[in-house]
Amino acid sequence: MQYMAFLPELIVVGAAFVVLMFEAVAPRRASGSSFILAAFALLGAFLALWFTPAYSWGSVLRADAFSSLVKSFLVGGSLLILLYAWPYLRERVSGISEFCFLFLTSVFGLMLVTSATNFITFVVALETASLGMYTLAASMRRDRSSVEAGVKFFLNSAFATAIMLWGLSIIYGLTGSLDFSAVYSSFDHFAASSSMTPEIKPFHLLGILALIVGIGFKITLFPFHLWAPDVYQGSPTPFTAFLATISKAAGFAILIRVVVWPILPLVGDMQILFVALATLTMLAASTAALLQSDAKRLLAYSSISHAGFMLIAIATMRDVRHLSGPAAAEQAQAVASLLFYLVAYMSATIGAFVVLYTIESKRKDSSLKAFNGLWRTDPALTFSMTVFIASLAGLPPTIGFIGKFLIFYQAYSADMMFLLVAAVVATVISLFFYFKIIRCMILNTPDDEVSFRDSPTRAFAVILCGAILLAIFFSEPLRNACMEAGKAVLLR
Amino acid sequence: MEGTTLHLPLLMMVPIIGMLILMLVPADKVRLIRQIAVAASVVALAYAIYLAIGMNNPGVLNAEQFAYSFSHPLFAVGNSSILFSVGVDGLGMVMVLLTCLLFVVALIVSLNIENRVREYYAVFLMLEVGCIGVFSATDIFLFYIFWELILIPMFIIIAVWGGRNRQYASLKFILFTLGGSLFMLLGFIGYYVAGGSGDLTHIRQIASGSQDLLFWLVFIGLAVKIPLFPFHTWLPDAHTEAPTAGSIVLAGILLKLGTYGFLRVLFPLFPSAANYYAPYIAVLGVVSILYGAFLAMSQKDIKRMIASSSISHMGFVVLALSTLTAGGFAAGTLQMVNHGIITGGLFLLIGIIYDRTHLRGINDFGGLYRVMPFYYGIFLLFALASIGMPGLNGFVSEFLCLFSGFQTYFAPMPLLMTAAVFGVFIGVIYMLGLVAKVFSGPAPEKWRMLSDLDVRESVSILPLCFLVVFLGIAPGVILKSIGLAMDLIAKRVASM
Repeated sequence: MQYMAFLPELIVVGAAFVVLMFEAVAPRRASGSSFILAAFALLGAFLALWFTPAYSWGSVLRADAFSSLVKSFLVGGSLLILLYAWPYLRERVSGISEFCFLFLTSVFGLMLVTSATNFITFVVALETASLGMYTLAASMRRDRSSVEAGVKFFLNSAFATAIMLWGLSIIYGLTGSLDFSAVYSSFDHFAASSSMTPEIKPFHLLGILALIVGIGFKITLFPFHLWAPDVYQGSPTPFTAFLATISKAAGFAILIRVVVWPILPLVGDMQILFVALATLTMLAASTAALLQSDAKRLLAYSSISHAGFMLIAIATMRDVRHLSGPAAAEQAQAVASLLFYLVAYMSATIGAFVVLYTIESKRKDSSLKAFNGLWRTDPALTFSMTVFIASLAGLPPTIGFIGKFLIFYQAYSADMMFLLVAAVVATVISLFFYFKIIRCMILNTPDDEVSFRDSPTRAFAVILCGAILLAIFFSEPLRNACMEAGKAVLLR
Repeated sequence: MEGTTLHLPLLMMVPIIGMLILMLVPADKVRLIRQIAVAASVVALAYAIYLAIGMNNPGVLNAEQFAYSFSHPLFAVGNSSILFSVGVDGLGMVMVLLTCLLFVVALIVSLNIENRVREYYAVFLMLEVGCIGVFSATDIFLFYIFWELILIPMFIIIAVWGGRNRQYASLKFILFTLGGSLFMLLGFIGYYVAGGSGDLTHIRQIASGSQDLLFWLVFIGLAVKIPLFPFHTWLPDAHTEAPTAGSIVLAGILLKLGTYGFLRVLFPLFPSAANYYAPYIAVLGVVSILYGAFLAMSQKDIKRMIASSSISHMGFVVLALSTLTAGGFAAGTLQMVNHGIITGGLFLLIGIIYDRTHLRGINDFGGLYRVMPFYYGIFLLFALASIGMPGLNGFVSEFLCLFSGFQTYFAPMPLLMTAAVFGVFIGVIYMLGLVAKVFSGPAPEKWRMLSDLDVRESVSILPLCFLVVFLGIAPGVILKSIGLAMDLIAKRVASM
């Protein structure tokens, strides 16, 4: 039973080791076969996710509707990224099987993160994923900026993990356990009787704060986002897409689980923190994005600002223990809208990176200038990019509009007018920098006559664009799945 | 659902199908592309006329007086759904007709476009879908979706086929309108949270205390589009830089979206706030009348002058709508239609002279009445209609707008209404000044060889000429068909 529940993970990690063997046994043929195996492993894991039963493995791991849904985002997104990374791998990377191994272990680690129900499992899974990701960031070994990205990523991430572990040690000291359920009942007990020992409340909050700071690094919340633009810019473009989508999705998944489970009794005290972080992240990132002239950096800041939008949903959460049916359902709605926003964000971001990569690989330039006059040479690619950007900016009729709509709706229902105003201001600012790209594509004249028609990734972008456009008519099943996941994570 | 028909979605499909066919045609078959695009717009117009005639049939209107309604849930939010729900009442039908007509005119007048013809027509047809969509949406979010759908094609039209300063103008246009519509979206979401549904055919009352903020949020989004003073600064740039057909559509249809929104969403959704704030809106309307008129008087560029005069003429619409009476609504709607026809015609005429000379300055011309007599006659007709010459359509609607304004606001605010009338006089000064400078006096040597209107230009302008005269004599055609809708909206606003 437990093996069935974690079959997707087993497939991914099994494939990772087989890929490693390829390199040892038949180094000449390793490249192509390891790529194919990795792609099929991800596909298999994606299919297996449909059949995984809900199951708790002690207090270590837990497979439920929530983790299955998030894992399907992770695996599906990874598959897309791996497929479009193929041209990149063939041209720039020496050891494709190494890349595939690291890629699969990262995915494996992030999948475990979404299932973790124990802080130790969480940290171990996160570090498993991170080790792979540091190496991937630096995988263009001859490119100085890629190496710099790897080192920066490693140092910052290690620092964040240290802070998080410090917070966890405080939590452990206060509760005597690292199980989510044990921490929860201890905090619950404390919240009910905190009037008796008010002097230790700051320690509780400090521990939680350090934990959130640690997660905040991973999901690039202001002011812990400073590593992101450099790392995003320096890393190879397919991997930047991985960082911006897959890794962030896993980070939000664990943040949701932590907020609705172990720290739930004290979440009321944390609300002000979430509101502040969300506001600052949205505004600071969109303002900084205005100044960028490199498309990769611009998308990095856009991704940071989206983290702020998603945090709005978390900020609307309240202590649900004593709420009755409909109010609890509203909380599930908050989780559901965050998950939906995540899909919208991931699909559009991957799409934008596919287009960026298509252009970058031909023009050897990732600055906004590389987009100049794209409309004259390739209307289809321009149209796709415009759709991705419209989706990121939340304009109808794209899936991003529904996502932003749901987040705004959530903030409205929770009566958080302040957050709402901040979100609208950030959206208006974001229109300016998103239109910078559209403006380059449509208004500027091209510098050269490069054709992108023979680019293998071009068709990919067009298909993804069609999916995003049609999503508004077929979003219902996804909404329902998100709602189920929200209920699963809340009601445990 | 009872009375569900696919007519309106099919009407929207006509331009989409045209667009898809265009995609299949090779880009260098320019002639074929033009024929397909114009044919698509003509078919859409014919279909719209067929639907308009069918409006009188018994049983077409449903209980809420919407005809051809069609509804399909898009996605669920909260306890209700956002609907793909369309339907037209008299108001919507008139605006859909105006849209289809002006698109035929705009596409015919664009037959001389040589640059990227296929994309040009594809973008225009997409714009047409968006416009029809806004005028027939009966769910606030569908309204919003179509509203936003219009912006990107218009942006591309200005940005690619526009004049010298097109970069600046197109960005200013899109950022102003996108920013404004975000506020509108917020207002809509707030209404949806409070009322539990966004269906415009079954409007639910929300508590009057929560209406004020939402009213202003939606108002900003609409006011940017109209544009009302102080949200107007994008308009002269966008109009001036847009290609001729773009200006026609912009002035003839896009500006009307804002005032249409007043009638369709703003007043019905927030009646108590509307009653409370109507005088403020009237003041903004009169300020726009005067400000736009003075702005127009000070322009040296003919196109910029007409664009600025639009601000003034739309001010009359806002003034009439702000009376919240059925008569005022009808007057405002008539003025919307008439202004669309007149200004569309004027932009077309300016485009003609610009194509020939590549100049638009008022002082660049003189004595053209000898050189282009036919052109002069038509220009004079539109100029007179614009300043409200009795017998032409502009007179009827501006008179009715002022009349309803006087009925409601003369007693409390006599100075305001006096100022509004003063706006008409300024209109006469700059419009006749324009005609005098361009057409009278001796003709300079260099303009002697200008040719008069050719077939393409005549075909595109003559329907508008006919309507200028016809609606001047028989405005009842429109007033009668919108009467029922106006009564219902006024009743809803008065009931609070």
